[in-house]
Amino acid sequence: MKEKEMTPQESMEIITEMIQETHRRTPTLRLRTSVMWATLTIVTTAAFWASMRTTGDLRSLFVWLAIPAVGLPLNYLMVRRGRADETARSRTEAVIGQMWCVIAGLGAALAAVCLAIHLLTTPGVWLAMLLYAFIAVGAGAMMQGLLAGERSFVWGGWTSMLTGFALCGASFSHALPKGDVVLSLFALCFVLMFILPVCVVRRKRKSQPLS
Amino acid sequence: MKTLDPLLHSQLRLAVMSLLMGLEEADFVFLKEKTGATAGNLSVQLDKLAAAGYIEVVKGFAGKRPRTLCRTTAQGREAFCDYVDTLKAYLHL
Repeated sequence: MKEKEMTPQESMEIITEMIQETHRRTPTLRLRTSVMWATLTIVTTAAFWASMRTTGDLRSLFVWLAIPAVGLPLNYLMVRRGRADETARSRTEAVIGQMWCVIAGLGAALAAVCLAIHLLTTPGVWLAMLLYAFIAVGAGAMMQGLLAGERSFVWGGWTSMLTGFALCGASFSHALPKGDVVLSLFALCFVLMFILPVCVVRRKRKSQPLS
Repeated sequence: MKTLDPLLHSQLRLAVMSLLMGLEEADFVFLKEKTGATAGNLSVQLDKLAAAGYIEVVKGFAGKRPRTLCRTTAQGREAFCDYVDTLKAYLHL
């Protein structure tokens, strides 16, 4: 770009062109980390279900610890590797990342509270974690979709939130469905929140011209 | 009528600031690719913007590769917004 006298009109055109360029070429979503968390959650759900089915032992609840134990280090490595490869980072991506940190932090705090209550009184308190996952992660997926302009995440997030609220209502009315049904809904919601939208986004990116 | 900030009223510096305004951060390679500038010229203009406090330049490594990251400062964002407001006045927008 050579230095030359610019008119105000030319200045405005440069600004417009460069800002459009940032929107065009900078991905706002870390699709691989979304797939990683969803896959990990679905596999853990299946492992918990299998463990409860075969042993009936409430210590199977500790299987859920695999989600943060495996997910957090993997997430750190994936984000670090992603940052090393990328040449620019959008503000939207930064905001989405911060949002997920808040949701994860609140989840960790709730898990600590649930563990304390479990040790003191009843293991039934862990239902609160499940409902938190339906509603808070659903809200996160919805916000992610709104920020990144990807409707598929919004729909998935809404579905999970509505399911969570419905289960909340059912639990207060002592009409909660059987554990198998709740766990199946849980896994399905993660497919709808992350796996399906990632497929949609990847298909869109493949079909976009590289200009 | 206010005069346009001479530091921003330059094709390459304005392009760099416009790119950085739309991003959290960008590295030297990205800025060079988008602006089409030579490495030497871009380096000089980034130094001018950094000296004025409009951008922050962080030199580090991505693995074993050296990497220069740039991001706007609060002062730079304010200066850019003032520049755009002045432009709009010139263009009667």
